[in-house]
Amino acid sequence: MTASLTIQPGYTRALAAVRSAEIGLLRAVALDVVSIGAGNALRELGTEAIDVLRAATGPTTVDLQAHSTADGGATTFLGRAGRGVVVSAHLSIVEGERREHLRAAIRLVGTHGSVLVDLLRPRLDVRTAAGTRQVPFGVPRADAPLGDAADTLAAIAESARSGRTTSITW
Amino acid sequence: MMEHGTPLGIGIVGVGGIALSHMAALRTMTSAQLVAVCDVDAARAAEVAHAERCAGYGSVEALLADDAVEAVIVCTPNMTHEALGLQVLAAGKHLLMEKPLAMTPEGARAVADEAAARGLALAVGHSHRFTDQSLAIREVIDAGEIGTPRFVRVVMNGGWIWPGWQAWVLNPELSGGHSLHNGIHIVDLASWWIGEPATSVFSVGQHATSEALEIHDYLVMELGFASGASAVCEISRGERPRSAGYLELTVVGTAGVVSRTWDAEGVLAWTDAGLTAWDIEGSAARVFLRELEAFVAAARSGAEVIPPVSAAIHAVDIAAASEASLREGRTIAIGAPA
Repeated sequence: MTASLTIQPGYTRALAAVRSAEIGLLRAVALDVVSIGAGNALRELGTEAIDVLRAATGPTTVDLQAHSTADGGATTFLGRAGRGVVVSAHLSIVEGERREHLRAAIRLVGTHGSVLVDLLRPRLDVRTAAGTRQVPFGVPRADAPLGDAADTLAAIAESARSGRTTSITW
Repeated sequence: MMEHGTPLGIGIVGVGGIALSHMAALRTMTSAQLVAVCDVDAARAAEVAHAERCAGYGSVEALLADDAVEAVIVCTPNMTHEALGLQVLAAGKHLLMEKPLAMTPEGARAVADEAAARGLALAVGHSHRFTDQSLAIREVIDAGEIGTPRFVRVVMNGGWIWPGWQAWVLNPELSGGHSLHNGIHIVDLASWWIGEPATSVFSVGQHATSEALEIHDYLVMELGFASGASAVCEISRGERPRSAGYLELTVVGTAGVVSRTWDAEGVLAWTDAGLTAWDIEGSAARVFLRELEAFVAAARSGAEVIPPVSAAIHAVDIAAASEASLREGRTIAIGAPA
């Protein structure tokens, strides 16, 4: 399984800012990923989302509460990771033919600053009488192998099902 | 809005910061008029009364005895809300209570019951419902453009910590904690946009500015709803640099996303404070004007208050449960709405 959000150039730069304490020590991470497609959001988007979050927090234990819609089209969780870092994420799928992200953004909050990364950029906005479209630019996106997150995703799904907080490690 | 021929006579209890916003709105209205103010600081009340050309009193009792006062806006600290609300209603005056309606679910219901028993209008200052962007988002939802809402993310972060250790807002005994003081605004928005009451809350907080804080100046509240929808509501007074301000409103539905991004007003400024997004001139004033117009309509003609009293009570239920979640470190179930 491969994906590209974790190695998006802006996110790579933001992670460097975390590791060099440009924004101080990490306090919170907030991720939203909304895609067009079909199926279960946690299954389709969860592995990559965990990869993105783990890149920011490093390996850690997270006490979290998850919620999912009955059709599995949307999952949200909020948790407290090691050293009190607050982690939240929303994953959802909007039904449609085009296979692309509608929204993918992550915010890293530090003790001395914050970084907001639109994971769908860089891209140009081209506005004409016919409408508006976005044109990616820069280095072509590469795909990177994803780690295994099966146990983590299973625990998140169980929290949503039971309505109880759970402890996971990623 | 002049069915009665004369403007609704308004009295304001407490002339601190938020009262100034109400006074500014009242100056632009023809359907209501500020006729009296009172404050425990009688000199301050007299000063404001002189500037506003209205009566000034050093006690609530004196203000309520003024027959020109038909309705009262309570702008005092949270721990006074329940008792003052009951006092105002007992005097036969319509009431606009600054949020929260009360510090406890029981207190909120007591005030609401008193208003209903006396047939008086009771509104609560959930002013964020009246912002340009909040109304626009609600219109997009109502139009069905994004399908059924199933996730809300509200972020209102800033670094303007309250002034000094003596500030009542920093004392959870007096303010109810950050969930009740500011968090209540954004959980109300989330519930309004999702379109149903929350059934659970799980909150995580930090003492970002100082470990000595007794409230969580950085607070994230996750709401669960019976439909499976959810919301993440984040509010902070502990950002660094202090000039940092970040606002984000996102609703994800079954058919799409509507989002108010940080730079939505289109005004980005590079100053000594760093890069900041500026508000549009007048947008804040419109919020209080809309809120007061809705209150006057309720007082004069029985129009439904905005938000409905049941929603204002529910917001207290959520916020109180959020504080319990912070204390106990677990998800707290929320009972049926009032």
